[in-house]
Order: sequence, then C-alpha cells, then structure tokens
Amino acid sequence: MTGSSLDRMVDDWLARVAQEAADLPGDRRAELVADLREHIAVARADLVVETEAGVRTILERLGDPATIAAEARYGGGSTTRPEPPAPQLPVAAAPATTPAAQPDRRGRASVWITVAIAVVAVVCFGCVVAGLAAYGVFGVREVVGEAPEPVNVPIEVPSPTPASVTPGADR
Amino acid sequence: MWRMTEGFGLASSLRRGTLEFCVLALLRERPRYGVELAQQLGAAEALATTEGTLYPLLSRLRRSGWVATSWRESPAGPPRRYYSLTRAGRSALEHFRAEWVTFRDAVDRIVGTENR
Repeated sequence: MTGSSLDRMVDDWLARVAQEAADLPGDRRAELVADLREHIAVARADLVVETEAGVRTILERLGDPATIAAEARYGGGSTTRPEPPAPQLPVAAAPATTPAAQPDRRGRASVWITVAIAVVAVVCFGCVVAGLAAYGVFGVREVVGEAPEPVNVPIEVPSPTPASVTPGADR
Repeated sequence: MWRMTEGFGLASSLRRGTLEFCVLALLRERPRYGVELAQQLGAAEALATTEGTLYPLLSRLRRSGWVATSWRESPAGPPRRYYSLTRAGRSALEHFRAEWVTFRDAVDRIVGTENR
C-alpha cells in the first residue's frame, strides 16, 4: 500500500467520525476530527516502517467512531451543553416554531426594557426638576428677588466648622 | 440515564467520573501530548479505554479551563499539541484527591472491601 492510499484509509476513518458526530455543533465536530487527525499523524511518525498493518492498528486502538462520537456528545455536559436537545418532542414542529418564537420574545422583552428605561428617566428628571425648584434655582429666584439669602446661609455655615474641629483634633 | 449498551458497562461507568482526574494527575509533573497520554492510560489496565475517547475528554478539560494547550516542534514527525495543567486544573485535582479518599473509604465500608 502506498502512502497516499494509507492517507485515504485515514481520511475515510475520519469521515466516519465526522458522520457519527453530525449532530454536534460544527466547531466541536471540527475540533474532534482535528484532534484525531493529529493523533494519527503523530502515531504514524512513530512507526518504524509505515505499513498498512501499522496504520490499521493505530485506527483500531482509537476505537469505533460511534463510541468516540458518543463520548463527545456526553462531553457537552460539563460546561456548555447540559443535555442534547430533547429528542422525543415533535421534531418537525420544533425547529419551525422556535426560531420564530425567540425573536418575538426577544422583541417583546426589548419593548419592556425600553418602557422601563423611559419610566425611570421620567421619574429621575421629575426628581431633578423638583429638587431644583425646591432650592429656588430654575429662574424662580431671579423673579422673586429674595431667594439669594437662603442660598448664602448654608455656604457660610461650613466655614466656622473646620476651625472648631481643629482644636478638638489636637487633644 | 442508565444505558447498559456496549461501552457503557460497569467499568466505563466507574471510569466516567474518574478518568478526567487521572488525566489531570498525569499532567501534574509536566505537559504531555495526546499520544503520550493515551499510552500512559493504556498501560493501566483498569483505565484502558479506546484511545479515541480521550480527545473528547481533553476537549472538555480545555473548555473547563483545567488544561491549556500549546504547540511544540518535535524532533521527529509533525508538531505536537501539548496539554498542561492550569492553576484551576491543579486545584480541581487537589479537590478530587480529598473527595476521592472520603468516597473510596465510604464505598469500601459499605461494600465490604476494606481489607482487600
């Protein structure tokens, strides 16, 4: 057997893995096949003489593509995918409704978020306006002409405070 | 969830939760590449599994952030991807070591294998 026909044997085996792992997300399947391809390349380089029997043994030790794919499927559990999607539900109906329903739900959620933000903004603005009005800012002071006095009083109050605190701190 | 089909027997059920920590333990002293890990695990008969299933397991460990990978040139053959233990992987392994002793002792007491 020539090197290229051994390559073909390896490619066929990897194609079977990809086929068995067809239900995995594309990036996970590609990663699995790449990892196995690399393993085979390293193991082939370790063979003293590359023979068909040697390559066949490498593939046999790797095992059944279906078992490897099953392990990869189970492997979703630990981090990203807790379970493969429920298999017994109406298969034809699910993909048709899900993509349509999700954007709708997302759209509705964004409407509610917008409303909530608007309400909060209005309330905050109301508070600021009320606060400013209470302090006599907002032009009311100029019109009334009396307002500057109450504004000046709180500014003068703090200045004696540090003087009285400082001797206390020395003790 | 119990599936007693080929490849899902008792030994493989026992391996399920422990093999990944054996892999972490093999990486404790130094980084290793895939074929090397497969050989090490294959040498331990009770842990022996088809070598191909090691890669989904390594992928899982990588996604958990317990191992990191880096490519290194090899004196012979293609570059090799080396797996090394991360800090998180190291503490996961330490956690397992403590849990394992408690677990093993409890099972031994109940199953009656303490003095074997």
